[in-house]
Amino acid sequence: MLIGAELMVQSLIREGTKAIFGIPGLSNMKFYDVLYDYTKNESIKVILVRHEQAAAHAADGYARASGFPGVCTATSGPGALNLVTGIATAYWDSSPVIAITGQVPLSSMGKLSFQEADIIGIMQHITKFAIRLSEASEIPKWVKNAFYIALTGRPGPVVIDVPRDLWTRNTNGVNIPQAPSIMGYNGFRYRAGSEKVKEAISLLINAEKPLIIVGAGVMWSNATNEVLTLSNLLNAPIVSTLLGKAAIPHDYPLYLGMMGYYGRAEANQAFLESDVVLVIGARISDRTLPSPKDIESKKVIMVNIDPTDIEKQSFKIDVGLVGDAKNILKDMINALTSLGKKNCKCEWIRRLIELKEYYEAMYYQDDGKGLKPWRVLKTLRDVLPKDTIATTGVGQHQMWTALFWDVLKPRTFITSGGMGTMGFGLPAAIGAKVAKPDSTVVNLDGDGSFLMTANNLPVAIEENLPVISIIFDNRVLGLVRQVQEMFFNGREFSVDLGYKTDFVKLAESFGALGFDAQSYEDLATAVKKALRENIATVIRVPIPRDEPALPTLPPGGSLKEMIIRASRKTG
Amino acid sequence: MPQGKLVRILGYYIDASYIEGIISTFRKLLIDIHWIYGRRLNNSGLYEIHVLVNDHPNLKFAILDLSKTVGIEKVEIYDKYEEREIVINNSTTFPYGDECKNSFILHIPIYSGTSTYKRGELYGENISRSRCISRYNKE
Repeated sequence: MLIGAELMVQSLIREGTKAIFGIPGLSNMKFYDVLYDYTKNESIKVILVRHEQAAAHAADGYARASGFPGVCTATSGPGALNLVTGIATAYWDSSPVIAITGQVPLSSMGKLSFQEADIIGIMQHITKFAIRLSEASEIPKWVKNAFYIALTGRPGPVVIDVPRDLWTRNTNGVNIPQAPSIMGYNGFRYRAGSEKVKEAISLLINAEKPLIIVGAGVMWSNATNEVLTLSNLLNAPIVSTLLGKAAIPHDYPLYLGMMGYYGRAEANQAFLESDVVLVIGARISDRTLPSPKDIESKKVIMVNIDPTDIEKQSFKIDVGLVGDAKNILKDMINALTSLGKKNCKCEWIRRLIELKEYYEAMYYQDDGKGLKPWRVLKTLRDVLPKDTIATTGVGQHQMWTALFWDVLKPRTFITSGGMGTMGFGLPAAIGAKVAKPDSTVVNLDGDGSFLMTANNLPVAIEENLPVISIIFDNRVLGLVRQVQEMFFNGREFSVDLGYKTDFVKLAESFGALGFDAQSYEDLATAVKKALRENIATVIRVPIPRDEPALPTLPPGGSLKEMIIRASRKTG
Repeated sequence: MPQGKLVRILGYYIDASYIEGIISTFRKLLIDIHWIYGRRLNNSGLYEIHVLVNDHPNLKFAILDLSKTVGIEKVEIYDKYEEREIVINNSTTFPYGDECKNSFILHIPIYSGTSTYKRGELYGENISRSRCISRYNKE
């Protein structure tokens, strides 16, 4: 005879869970009590975070680094409510996170009980699925289903809310399901028809200026090699979304970088000049394509596992291919190879090289006034291993990283795209380090963003997770300041963070290493020392307050209105 | 009589959040609901919910989102929809307009066909009305 809590732990382990991020409290205490036994024999690792938001972000970081669902837990009421931001972040970025929330006993629900919150009512709007259990015997079934739902089709978070009395309830003769069983859910199609594939190939072959846009779907489908093969066969350059950066090695010669609102100018310009666009695993959000007018004259092929992403677009999709990117791209490659056609598209490639050289000359300038973000990132890239996993917070540093951090291996760039959640970087790095303990993990963060979840630094220390946080410290909420300066007539307000915070002392107070890098050489030395010492480290890098994140667009602008130089400010 | 689009949602009930989820899909996309009619169809928890909603520019988004929601089997939109309303009180049926205390107003859809969405895709259009009764046992 097993109690509900034992069923939960065994079910999670059966599905492959190796780590749980969370905080215990009244309504998940019995769950923790059972976990105690399973951690003793190292069947599972339980990481105590310092705020539940970090539990969700860590589970998210774990999922994105490993490709397998990350699991987090919280007690009822405030604990579960604190997960909300992290769960929404995972949902917007299609990350498979599973949250096990404690709930007040069934008999107390709906009565303003102590630490009660209507978690299903809240979470069902920001998850792929949320369920409150009524019987302990349902636990194995819904844990299996949760993993299936989280991973199939477009991945996403699932919440299982467990009333406290179910943890201790005895269960007899519970069936352990061998397969998921969910009425009204059977995943999406996995292959596009051959006629559609031929249509797409025909458009691409006849294109004069083809372009491939890569989104996070390529990473989730493990389709990096297929994208590169297709790009090579077609001589088609690649641009990516912010999350799509994680899918393409940036040393691939035809990769032009991230496009969009804060995208690289050559990527945006190549998009504007292209005639046929192949969108793979990207939903083309308002951040990637702020103005649909920019795509209206092009032929568009879209590959997506979620058919609604094809149907919902405000612009015309000429060929929509519904299914798993890897499978569809394999079909496209086979069709292309059998045709044996290869067009050098020499003019197009020459133009791209020209664009790249022109804009790179603009980015990579150093007037000697303070440390330059691009050079900070280049310094880091030179001293960190190729497979280093980089996470970010949200703000100017994130945009600099999007522009100038070279991702060299798939699944090594983790950032909050759709939700833009400040404070994501450190806990996501902790989760990534748990998933990939042999990889170096670096959190490229801003001072404002880092301070939102810096209380989790002791987690990295106590759990021996040597993540390195690089703080781009401009003492200001830089992206907001930049927008105020450029588009609110310079009325900079409520953005300055003050000059008293000492990041070195902060790090040391938690038992981490702390460095203040005043030069690129200092930075390289500090990183090397952090790698050698193999302990959680914070490296502060001072950045001038008015250093802008460019290119950008005016509010509501089109990619044609890119602002590339700070001197081109509008009033 | 309200004008709009009549939508039929077939899906599996776990708890009342199933109904909340359907309604909030319209709410999130700023679509107003004129009336709702729903009932359980079988012992497996299959529910049929009809909603008359505003013919809003976001309606297609709502239908697509609903059709891919976990637990939703399919979503149908009634084409060229009109409705006839009758009032029922105990076992007596009155013409619409003769409303009285404790009466129910039933909205009877009159339509030529439906478009069916499943898992985010349009699966086909049905112009037959002949299976209105017998289908419940099969779905």
